[in-house]
Amino acid sequence: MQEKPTISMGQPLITAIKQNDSLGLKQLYVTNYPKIELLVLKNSGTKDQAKDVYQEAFLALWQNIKQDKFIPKTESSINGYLYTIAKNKWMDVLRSQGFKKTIVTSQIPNYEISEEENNGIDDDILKNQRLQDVMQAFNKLGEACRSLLRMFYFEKRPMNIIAEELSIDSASTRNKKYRCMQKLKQIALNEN
Amino acid sequence: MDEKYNISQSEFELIEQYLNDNLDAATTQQVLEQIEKNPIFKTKVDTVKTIIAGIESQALKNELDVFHEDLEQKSRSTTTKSLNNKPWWRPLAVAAVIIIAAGSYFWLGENATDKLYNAYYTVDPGLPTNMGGNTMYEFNKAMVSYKQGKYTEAISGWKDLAKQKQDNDTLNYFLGSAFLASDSIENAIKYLEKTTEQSGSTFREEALYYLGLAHLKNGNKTLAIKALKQSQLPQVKEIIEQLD
Repeated sequence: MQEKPTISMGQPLITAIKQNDSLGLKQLYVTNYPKIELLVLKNSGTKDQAKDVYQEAFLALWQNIKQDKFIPKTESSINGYLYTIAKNKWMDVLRSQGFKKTIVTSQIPNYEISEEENNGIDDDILKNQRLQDVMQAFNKLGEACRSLLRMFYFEKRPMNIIAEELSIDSASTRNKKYRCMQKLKQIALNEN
Repeated sequence: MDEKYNISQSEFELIEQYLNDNLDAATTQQVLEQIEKNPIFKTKVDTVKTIIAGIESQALKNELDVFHEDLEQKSRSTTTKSLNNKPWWRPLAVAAVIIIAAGSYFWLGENATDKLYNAYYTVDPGLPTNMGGNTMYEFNKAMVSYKQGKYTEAISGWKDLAKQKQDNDTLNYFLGSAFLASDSIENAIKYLEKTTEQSGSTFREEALYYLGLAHLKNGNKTLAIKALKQSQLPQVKEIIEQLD
């Protein structure tokens, strides 16, 4: 596999995040994980807990950037935002588990995020129950539907390219996509 | 989600285009008016929005697991260079098997079938994975688990896929291989047999070989020989000679 180009400016990274560019997202993920792992391990957590907290924070960051709730000016404010969400989430876990151990917050570095960039840190997006239902339903779809919907909505590939890959025409691909959406809706509903 | 409202295909596509900003100004205006005036239509727009957001979020969540595997794999490879997924592995694995087999010839005695199995069995090294995001995504994700020795995870991923593609020889072969690696012999036999039933399969020779080994592990010499005799792999002859 070719080495991915380094993204050093805030703007291309924001575009990469908004377009679900796999390389950009992966770079962001891989670069920031060690800091969060260290934070969690130093504060009574395990590697698995670090992974969970980090992934939740990553999804929240991604959603907030997509919805323009967080408009970062530089890459370092993206890193800082991610760290802050993960830190808050880990604090919540510690509080909810009734940890007696005092967390020395001064040992945990903070990152400056200006008010104008941050429209209020919101990490609750994924607590939306309806969204959660759809997410769970997506993983219960058959592979064919999951793959088609993923190509269309996550990879954002054009319909004609997807049709070519599936060796069917564009109209049939559209019909198939609609049927998959219906199925997804049905599964999400039935689980309630 | 409100189940009362059925969203037709044309309605769905209109809402989707609206959400993606792909409508001309006049149509956008019409949609906006509809949202304003018609609460049912507004609910439908919200539903489509949630569905699309849910697909995207879950697809990313699944992708994050793959990023994470890669991260862990990298940190492991700094201490050991044991992982390699290039196709040229496969003949090397076969060569290693033959060397071990030559040594095993001298100590065959009691529990001969078990010993033969241990001498000849080495887990199939798997296929190279390309995580570029394609239709093989789910398959590759399970392949990553398989190569890391997480057979239960791999089996669960491939089993999901196998529900839709019962006759896929690649899936059946690696399900069989993963079950064999986790000592679930009956299941291994079931999936390997399925693979061997497909005469055109590129995995047929290997599937017959591993099927033979699985029967050996079960202590069933007759079935082992029957399967092995159909395989053209070079090491098969040696095993049969030792069994006779």
